[in-house]
Amino acid sequence: MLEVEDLVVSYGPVHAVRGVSFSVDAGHILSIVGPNGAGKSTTLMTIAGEKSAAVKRGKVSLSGRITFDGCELVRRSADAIVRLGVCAVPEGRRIFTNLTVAENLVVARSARRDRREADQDVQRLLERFPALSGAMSRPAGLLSGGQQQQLALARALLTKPRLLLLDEPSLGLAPLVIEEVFTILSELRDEGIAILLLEQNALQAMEIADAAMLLRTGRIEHIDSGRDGQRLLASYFGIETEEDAG
Amino acid sequence: MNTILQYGIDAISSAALYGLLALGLAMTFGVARIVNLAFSELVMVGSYLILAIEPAAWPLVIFVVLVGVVLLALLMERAVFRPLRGADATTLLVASFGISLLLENVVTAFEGTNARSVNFGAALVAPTHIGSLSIAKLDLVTIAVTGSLLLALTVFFRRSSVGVQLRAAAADFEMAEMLGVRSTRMIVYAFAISGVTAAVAALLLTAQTGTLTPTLGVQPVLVAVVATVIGGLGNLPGAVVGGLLMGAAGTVLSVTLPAGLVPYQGGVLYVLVIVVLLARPHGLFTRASSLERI
Repeated sequence: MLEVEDLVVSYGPVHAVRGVSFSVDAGHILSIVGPNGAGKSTTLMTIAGEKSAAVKRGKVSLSGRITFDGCELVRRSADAIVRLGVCAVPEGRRIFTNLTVAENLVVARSARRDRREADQDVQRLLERFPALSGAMSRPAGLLSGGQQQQLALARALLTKPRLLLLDEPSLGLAPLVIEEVFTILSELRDEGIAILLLEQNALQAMEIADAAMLLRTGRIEHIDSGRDGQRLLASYFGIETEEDAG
Repeated sequence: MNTILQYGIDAISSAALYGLLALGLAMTFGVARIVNLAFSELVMVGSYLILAIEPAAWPLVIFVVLVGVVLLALLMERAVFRPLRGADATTLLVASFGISLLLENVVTAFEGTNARSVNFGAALVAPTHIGSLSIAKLDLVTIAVTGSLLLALTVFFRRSSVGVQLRAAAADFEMAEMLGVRSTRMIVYAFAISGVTAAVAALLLTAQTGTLTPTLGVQPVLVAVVATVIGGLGNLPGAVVGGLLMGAAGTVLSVTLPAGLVPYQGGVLYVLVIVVLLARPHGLFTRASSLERI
């Protein structure tokens, strides 16, 4: 589904990502963990096309290949990438705070041509995220952190993605809300959506990921699939996994 | 009491026009981060289009000015701003200044620098009487037209999918793109709306003054630029309110200032603007955080 080959991203003399290669299949979660400045967000935003404009005007240099179901994503605009079925929820959620919850969803629905089905999807999403259904006419900026995260997820899901790119979805949320968010991510994986998950909360990320990758100073230090890989990374971070605890 | 009401109507008329101009400027800044100094030339070209087809019937004049100015705004976007998309703000500002100079010189080359008079909307200059009030019909028309257009745009921004997408793009352009909003299309819509506001302003200003010069758009658009800054750059309703405040403040100052200071009314107004900006550097209605491009 998603193939990243030898991706290099540089901001002038600063190399943020240095030759990263990985893939994500449908119905799988790949978790990228690593410290601040490791190049996680740059990798994600490059896949999402957020760097395309900067690449075109020479502010960011980029090499390597990113393909999604065989389509080259590099230099494609962000909106075109969404229509291919790839949607990002960036760090900080970036909901439109001055728009209502309903209007935030309208923006996401604009990517869809199947308007009738999109309207039905809105109803399904409101059932999945009941906290939003009672707040449709409220400015999104007045929602709690957890509700904002739900809105960010609902908005992304409304674009009908086959690959979700999530940057720190647990950031700033209470433990119970984090658990809810990760439960939803597991459900989405089970529905066949591929997820690229960036998390500083490595323990929680390991629990739901099918594969994990440790990124440090723009390079992959470890990439492994399956529980062994997760245990390797967990031990790297000094984290006890459920299996270890058992 | 009558005098206060009459000044009040003057203030509303002037305020509505500046509100409209400020919205036109704020559209391109909000969506594309372009401070389009050539916006004043859109107004100017609109006014000269009236002269070019004089003495056509007024519905034809309105049609020609609307279509002509909107097409010119779209041409600016396609020929200059689209190739420069993603360039830094200074480059875009200089480019808009270049278009402004180009258009001003083209009109000067054909029409000269001398003021030209045009007989558009002369019938509206005569006052109408409401009770003991004597009000210029043009003031009422200005209030009705700008009020209707602002109301229509408000409905468009609130109720239509494109309007909501435009507001989202003005708030966070990259995020809107990452949700599938077609960025180029939004910028084209923003320039088209900007063109509509410039065309309507051209029609009203020409009817008010009856005099054309190649620099006629500069002064009102300068006030509108200040209005968008007061309202908060990128904040569409804020720009309209900023325009309303500037127009109203101008009228109030012209009435309340001592006679000796009236010639310096503009200076006093800008001192007030500086005071406002010292207190609220990001404008009256914008939070600093919302200005950041993440």
